[in-house]
Amino acid sequence: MSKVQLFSRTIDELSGLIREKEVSPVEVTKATLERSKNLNEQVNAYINITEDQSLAMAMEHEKEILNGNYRGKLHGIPMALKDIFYFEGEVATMGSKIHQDFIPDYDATVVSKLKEAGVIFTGKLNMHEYAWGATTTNPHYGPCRNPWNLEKIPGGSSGGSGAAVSADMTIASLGTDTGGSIRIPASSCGIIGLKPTHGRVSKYGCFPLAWSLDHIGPMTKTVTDAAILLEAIAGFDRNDPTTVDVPTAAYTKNLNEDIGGMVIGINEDYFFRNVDPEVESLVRAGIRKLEDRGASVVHVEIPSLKNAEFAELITIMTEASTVHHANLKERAQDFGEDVRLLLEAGEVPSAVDYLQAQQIRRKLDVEFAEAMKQVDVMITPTLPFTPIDIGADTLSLNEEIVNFLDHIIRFTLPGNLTGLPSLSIPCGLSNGLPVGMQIMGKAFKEEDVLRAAYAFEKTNPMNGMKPKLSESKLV
Amino acid sequence: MQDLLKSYFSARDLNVSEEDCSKIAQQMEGLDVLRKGLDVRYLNDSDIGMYHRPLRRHDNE
Repeated sequence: MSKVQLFSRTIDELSGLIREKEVSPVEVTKATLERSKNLNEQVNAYINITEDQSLAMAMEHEKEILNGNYRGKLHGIPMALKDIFYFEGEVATMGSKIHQDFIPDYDATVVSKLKEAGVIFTGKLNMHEYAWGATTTNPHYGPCRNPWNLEKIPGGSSGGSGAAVSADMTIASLGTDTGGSIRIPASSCGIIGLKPTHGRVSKYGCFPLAWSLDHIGPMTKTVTDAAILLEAIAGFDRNDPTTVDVPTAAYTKNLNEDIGGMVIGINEDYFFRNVDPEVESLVRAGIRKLEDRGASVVHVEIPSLKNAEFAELITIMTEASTVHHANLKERAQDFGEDVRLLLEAGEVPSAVDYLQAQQIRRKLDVEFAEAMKQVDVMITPTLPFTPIDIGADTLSLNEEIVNFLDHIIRFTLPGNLTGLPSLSIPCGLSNGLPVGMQIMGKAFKEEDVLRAAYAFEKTNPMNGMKPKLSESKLV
Repeated sequence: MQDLLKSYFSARDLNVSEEDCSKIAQQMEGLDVLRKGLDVRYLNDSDIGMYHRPLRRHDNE
């Protein structure tokens, strides 16, 4: 089997081949590492490729599988994660200069779970510094580039994860999401990004951005792979007081269930206002495809969405500045300029602002819960526009110049404020750049979101298209 | 606004440059626009509880 075939495969495909011993973990790992080394100069998705360590790990797992100890679908799968998760004894930079030599002495819960499942780690992926931004134009480790167009951002903050999955530099990845940081790069890079329900996945050993909004979730090539990864990482954890002891589902089991009778909620006032016309058209076409498969559409009202941006901005800014307060006092010059400014600005809002933001969140919780009683899922565009040029911080949206950061999180932030599960799935290309469709579900009902996404994926919305990259060292 | 910010940061023992103060003042103007859209009385709704709490086990029912 050629290397090209191996690195471009999914978890689901590779797991069958590894289980049947048709492919070895060492072969897959070598192919993925070679692909990553050849492309990293262009894409800059990795901060660090841990070649020797991952090959040693692959050999151990290969031996174990040959001895008949196959652990399950993730056994022998090479994977790189965002450099925000703690690995015992390994540097975790969080994309920063301040933490460039930080070595945690324990594994994050998601890392332990993936280690137990037999994942082989190939390195640490680039990210927006401390996850506080959505471009992944990192001043310390260089800008990460969008594999669909290397002049464009991959989105962020999990931009390295989005770019690496899209460019086949990892089989799958994990990201973190505080205002959209899984779904924004997923949409921008044409992959699946799932932010599970708040409390579904432990954040123990993951550096915080804003603790009440932070989530961890899968970033993958397919919906099935997202379900496989969620099965592996979901669950209550005594080390994380925000996890909820709710039974997890067998997320891969019911993906193929008929969506006939599924009710989709649409909110026009907030989620379809001030959107790029081509993005809007692709998302509406996506909804029609689900209607063709038997789903129906109803319109839902969520009045407090008019205050959602205030609630998100106040909460994320002030919580992030609380996390970084000591370093802002002592080492302000060691932050990148954009993050320093956001952290300084986060010192300014008042306690009244913060508490009003939490009151708005309560209103949103109640209104979303009410709206969700009428529907199984809600569908929205993931982003109002396609990725911008690296280095830009404004853009023209419907003939108005707008601030990038304020607008990029408009449709993703309600998922963070309420904690409801939300997934981005590619629904086509606009000017050669991917467009994402967001599917939101009820609390702890990731299975509904995944089922709708799986049905949509079967319509082949990307028509098999992938980014065209040449491996300079191979040519 | 810029002078106010400078005094505020100084009182908080934060060394923020004049250039940063000027940019932060612009950001605060953006927040002010959003703040003016709030109806404060509508937020003080004791029927549903006053503010957000994390999701719990039965929140999907």
